[in-house]
Amino acid sequence: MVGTTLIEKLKNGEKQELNKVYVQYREEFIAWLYKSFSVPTDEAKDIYQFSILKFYENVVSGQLKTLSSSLKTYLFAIGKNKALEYNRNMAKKKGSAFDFYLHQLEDTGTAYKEEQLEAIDKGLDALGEPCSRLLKLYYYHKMNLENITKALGYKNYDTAKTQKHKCIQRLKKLSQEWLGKISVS
Amino acid sequence: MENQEKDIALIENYLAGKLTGEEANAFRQRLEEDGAFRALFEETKLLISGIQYSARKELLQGLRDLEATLPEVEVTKGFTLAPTWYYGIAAAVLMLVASVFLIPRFIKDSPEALYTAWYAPYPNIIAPITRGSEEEDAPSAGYRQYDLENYDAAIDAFKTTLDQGDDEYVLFYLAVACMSADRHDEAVIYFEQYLQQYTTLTNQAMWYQAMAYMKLKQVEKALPLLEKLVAGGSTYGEKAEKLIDQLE
Repeated sequence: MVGTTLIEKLKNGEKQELNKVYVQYREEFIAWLYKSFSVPTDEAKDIYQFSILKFYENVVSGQLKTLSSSLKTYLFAIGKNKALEYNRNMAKKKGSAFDFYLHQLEDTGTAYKEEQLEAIDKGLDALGEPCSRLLKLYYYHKMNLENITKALGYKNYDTAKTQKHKCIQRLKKLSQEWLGKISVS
Repeated sequence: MENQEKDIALIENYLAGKLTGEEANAFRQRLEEDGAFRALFEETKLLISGIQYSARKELLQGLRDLEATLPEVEVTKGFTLAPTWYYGIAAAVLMLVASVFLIPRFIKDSPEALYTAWYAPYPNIIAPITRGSEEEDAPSAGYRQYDLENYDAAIDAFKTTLDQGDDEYVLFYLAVACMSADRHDEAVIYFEQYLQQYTTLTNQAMWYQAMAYMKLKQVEKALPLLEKLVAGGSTYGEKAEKLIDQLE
């Protein structure tokens, strides 16, 4: 039930819970990757961070509803796969684990160029708050508009919905400014 | 604008797999036939990917910032790199440096000296200082004072928090704050209470309680805790093993 409570808290946007999980298994995880897979500690930290991230993304996307094993087993299973994947890929090309995993976006199933994604990242910076927060909460943290209304203090659901649409339109314009024109090549 | 908003919602539902088979087929057919809709689809997909990329980067940076506040992970056993001759030489040089500069410093040191060598307050990972908040509740005040190294003030705020209800992390940080305020008698009691009630930071609590006992010159109470850590096999176990060697 501990796992279920944690999952609920993460889904409710209590991200400090993720920090607690991070600290709880960090040393054991990094030492294990180092000893069992000869992954250097700095890269092991990256892999741990991505394992935590993967766990989080699985929770908020609804793929992980309950933990059938312990959280530790779950995290270590992700870590093992990522360590093997890292060793395979690093044998072929240079680059840090951080760079390697950052671009693995799975939701849309399309691989975009880094400059396209960076243009949107810069667009979000220029967009400012609360728009940037609203879009990230909705599209990445998978928070529904009812909860976003509460979290960002909008008057009601309809205001939040209208605001979301305006924000994405503004982001489109700003991103185009950074990139010239958004187009999928 | 309203139509476009509806279309974007439709695209989102399609990408999230929320459309029925029939709806998805109609969606795909429209993509083939309607150029403007196809352009909106591609544009929306890219924007969503960019937002996810940006948010993911932000979350990762948060974890990296947290990582930077934590003590370095010590890994020493069972690691094998390609056995080339220069690794051997490097290892020999390191051992020589350690034997000349480090080992004599620690061997046969008193528990109190070892405490000084090993003790560092546990980093605040729960509520790092944020500026501009108008009102501050007791736990936030405690963590802020803890960060500022005003440990007596942190202890007062943490105790106020615990008077209002249980809080696993506040109890742990209260105990560490007591150590940093040189109130080790109180610290061992709070760690005991923590270890009886909670499990999240068990290794950390045992490690710090053992350190507090060392400071109080009660090595006989510190040793069983350190031995438990060794048996547990975590990184704290490795640290504990080194400390036991030095104590003996």
